[in-house]
Amino acid sequence: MSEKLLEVKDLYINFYTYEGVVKAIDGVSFHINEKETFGLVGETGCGKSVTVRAILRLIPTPPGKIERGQILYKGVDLLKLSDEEILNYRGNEISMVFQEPMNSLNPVFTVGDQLIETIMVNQKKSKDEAYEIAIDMLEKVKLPDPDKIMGKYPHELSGGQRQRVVIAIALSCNPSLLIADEPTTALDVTVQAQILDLMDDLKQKLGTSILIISHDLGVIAETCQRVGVMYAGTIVEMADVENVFEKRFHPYTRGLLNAIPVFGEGKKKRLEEIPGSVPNLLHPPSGCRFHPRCPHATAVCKERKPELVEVEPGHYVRCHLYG
Amino acid sequence: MQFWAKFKAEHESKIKELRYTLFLIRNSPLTVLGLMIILTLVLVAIFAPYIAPYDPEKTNILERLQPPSSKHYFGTDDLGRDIFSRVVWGTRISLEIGFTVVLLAVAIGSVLGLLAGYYRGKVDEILMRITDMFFAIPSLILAMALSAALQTRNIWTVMLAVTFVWWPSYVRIVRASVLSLADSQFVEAAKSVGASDLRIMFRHILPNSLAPLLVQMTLDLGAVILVAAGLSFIGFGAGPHTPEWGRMVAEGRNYMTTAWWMITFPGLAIFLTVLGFNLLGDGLRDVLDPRLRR
Amino acid sequence: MNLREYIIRRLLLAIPTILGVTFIVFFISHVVPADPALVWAGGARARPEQVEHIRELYHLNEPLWKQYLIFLNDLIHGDLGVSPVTGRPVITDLKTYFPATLELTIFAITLAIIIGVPLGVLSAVKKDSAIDHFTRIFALSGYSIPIFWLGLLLQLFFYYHLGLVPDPGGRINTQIYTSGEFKTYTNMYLLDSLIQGRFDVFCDALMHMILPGFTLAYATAAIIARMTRSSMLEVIRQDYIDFARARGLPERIVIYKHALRNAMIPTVTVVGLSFGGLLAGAVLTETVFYWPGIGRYMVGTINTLDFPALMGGTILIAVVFVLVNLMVDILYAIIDPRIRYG
Repeated sequence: MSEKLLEVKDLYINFYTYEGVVKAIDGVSFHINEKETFGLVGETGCGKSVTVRAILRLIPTPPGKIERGQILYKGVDLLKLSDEEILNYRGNEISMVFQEPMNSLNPVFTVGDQLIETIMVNQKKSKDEAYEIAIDMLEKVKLPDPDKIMGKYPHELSGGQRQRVVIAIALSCNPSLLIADEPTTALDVTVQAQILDLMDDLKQKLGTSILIISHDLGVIAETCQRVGVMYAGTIVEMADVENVFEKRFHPYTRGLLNAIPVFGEGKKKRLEEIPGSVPNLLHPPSGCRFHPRCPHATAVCKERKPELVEVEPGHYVRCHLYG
Repeated sequence: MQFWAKFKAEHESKIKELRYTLFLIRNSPLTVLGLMIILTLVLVAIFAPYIAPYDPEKTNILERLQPPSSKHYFGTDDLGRDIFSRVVWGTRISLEIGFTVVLLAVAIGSVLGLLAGYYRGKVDEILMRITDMFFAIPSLILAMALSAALQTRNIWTVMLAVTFVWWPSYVRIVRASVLSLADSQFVEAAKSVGASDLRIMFRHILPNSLAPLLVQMTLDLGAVILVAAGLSFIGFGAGPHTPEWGRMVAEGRNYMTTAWWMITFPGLAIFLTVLGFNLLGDGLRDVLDPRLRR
Repeated sequence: MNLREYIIRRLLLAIPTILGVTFIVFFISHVVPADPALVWAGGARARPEQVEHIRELYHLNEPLWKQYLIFLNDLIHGDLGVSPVTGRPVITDLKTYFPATLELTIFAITLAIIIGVPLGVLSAVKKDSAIDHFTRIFALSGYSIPIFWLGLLLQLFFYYHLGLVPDPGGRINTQIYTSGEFKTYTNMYLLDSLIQGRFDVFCDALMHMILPGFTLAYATAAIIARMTRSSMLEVIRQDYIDFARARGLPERIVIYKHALRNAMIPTVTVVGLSFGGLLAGAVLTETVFYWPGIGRYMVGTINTLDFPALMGGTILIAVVFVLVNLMVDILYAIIDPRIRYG
């Protein structure tokens, strides 16, 4: 049984904006084991990015506020750390890669500068030592001519190269957890496959756990062992990837997976869609946030928010249909 | 009645946009303040003959250098003229200069900018070189040089000189708008239906460049008044009796230590006027910025 | 293309601009006046023989294009004409007065940057705080206030009422000047006094310069503060700033190394462009403070009707402006590597 590397417990996050309070994260709980790839999937705006940024305390605190919850990393509650203490974790223990690689690198500094700087700050190495580690990382991400790349500016590299550099920076200090927020969305399809392979390869070599966020079910299916489905700020289903895809306990999961067109499966079949639209989190629906769009909604769904229940071993669902 | 209904229907979305713009303006206190200041000044300028208690050019040596009092709100100058009345009449002059220069500069600059941006090629090159030449000389300096060459000292010289300095910036602004719009799809669509160049320029491109133009015009109204006041201060502008604010400050300079009111009030008038235009211009810029709407 | 090629290219581009400036000045001085000879000879004061003499001297009977070539030729040889008032070549007068203006403007721009940049950065980092509101009010007043009025008010307050600064009208105490001990090499007193190790003279010159310098700097500081603020706000929103934090860099480094460097790029351009306003402001400031520089020299021509002096000053200022913009463009390319690549 692998150890729980990261455990998020009952996370509630609000944003106090001009128009009112946005209840963005409404009770999120999940855990990631060592050496595993965990996926967080859901539509745009469901709170995946916010949840994940909370781990590294990257949420601007006004207007955001972490109302309650715990984020336990190797036993330590990250939310209770001071601003200086969290710096020790960022880059060192937990790293994050953002969606658009072209925007993650500072355009006025060379790629090498940014890589070395990260290593020097996090690992307290000298410039020469950092340089060696940097070259090694660039080789690990399969970039040819690492010496040359070090001296280049971000705009001189292609999108795929930049994403590799960003991954190199993220992994340069040997973190135990890598968070990847839509790592392939901004890339061409062919490059996508390469990057995903690379990430998997590095995971094997370095023993890192990966938390991948995506709205692309294909990416999730390919890379993750376990997955959590998010809707309107909460996790509605969580289990091993095969189980979620096959069993689809939660109505939302069902709707999501049914909406994928499948080739050859009866040409006359209409594309199923989930009626209604994503709720406004300023005034979220009462009880279960999915009830207005759920074909199986009952009175209790409107009144009370369902608990996350372990329906089968390792398979959690948050729905009144199951308990 | 029928005409009105038809007009509303045709322009429905534009009216909605306008309403939203007004809503945003109303919600920005600084912008409203700027607008209030400007409206007050315009009213003062229009009703100057009724507001000013004295004739601005009438001298009265017996009452010279009087401090502010209930008889002379802003005091009197070295020739006994009532400063309050002069400041009030000066509003007319400043606003006249401002509006004339900006409207002329916009007219000239827009036409040239449209041509440059739309036809590009040689026309564009030449116009760009010319505007570059103008931009290389600071505004006040160029205005000074032209005023001196024109040999006369009056408000018209000031207006001409400042217009001469100002038109190139509008060429640039309009050209930039045109360049970004000329490649857009609706222009291509218009072309494909056979619209003439002129029609495209005036009916399609110009209305869409209006927003940045309006902002710049408002801000420039303030800037022009500042330059004109500067010109008058150093003596290149208005004649000895004209109640132009810049000139009044210059006149008050010799008496500044004993009669502080002579420089304070005209200068304050310039400051408030320019402030008003800047507040309004800034506010409009924020309101019309497409990224901040919705 | 690398940095060196970029510099050379920009240098070459400056030449047609300067040429264009000469063309505009030529147009104003030779084409606009009804009778250029009359104006060049000193306007209404000139006697008919003087006017004819000027007409001959400057070949004003020749066709316009020939006049322009002669004009250019003179310029290249440093001949800006002779002042009908002083009888000296204009260029000599300009050389005398230019260092004072140069010193004042350099002082002012330095002051403007020292005030403007930190205010802009702080106001962006602490958005909507007290310092943010203060900066925005400061910036707004800077654009709106007539510089000559500000100068007069400051003079009234700090000199006449408080006596904190010395008598306007000089750059240093006249006794120092006349005692002959103090040598002037560059005619820029702050520099000269430092070279000679005369700290007392330095302080004296500084005290004389502080009021006009601040007046001149005010509007530019406002522009710089505002530009820095808005570009910092833009930059802080960028993904690479988020990534810098996510990598574990302390906030200090994120803001002052990563954000600032990017935010400075548009600010540098603005500083260059506002130098033009600074030169124009120098004219007004020098008039108010009786500062013996080019600006005051040019303003004086109104009464003396010294047209050649005015034109000479105009060309000089324009050339300085072009050169400053050139330097700014090069600085820009040094800071932002993306520009160098065509």
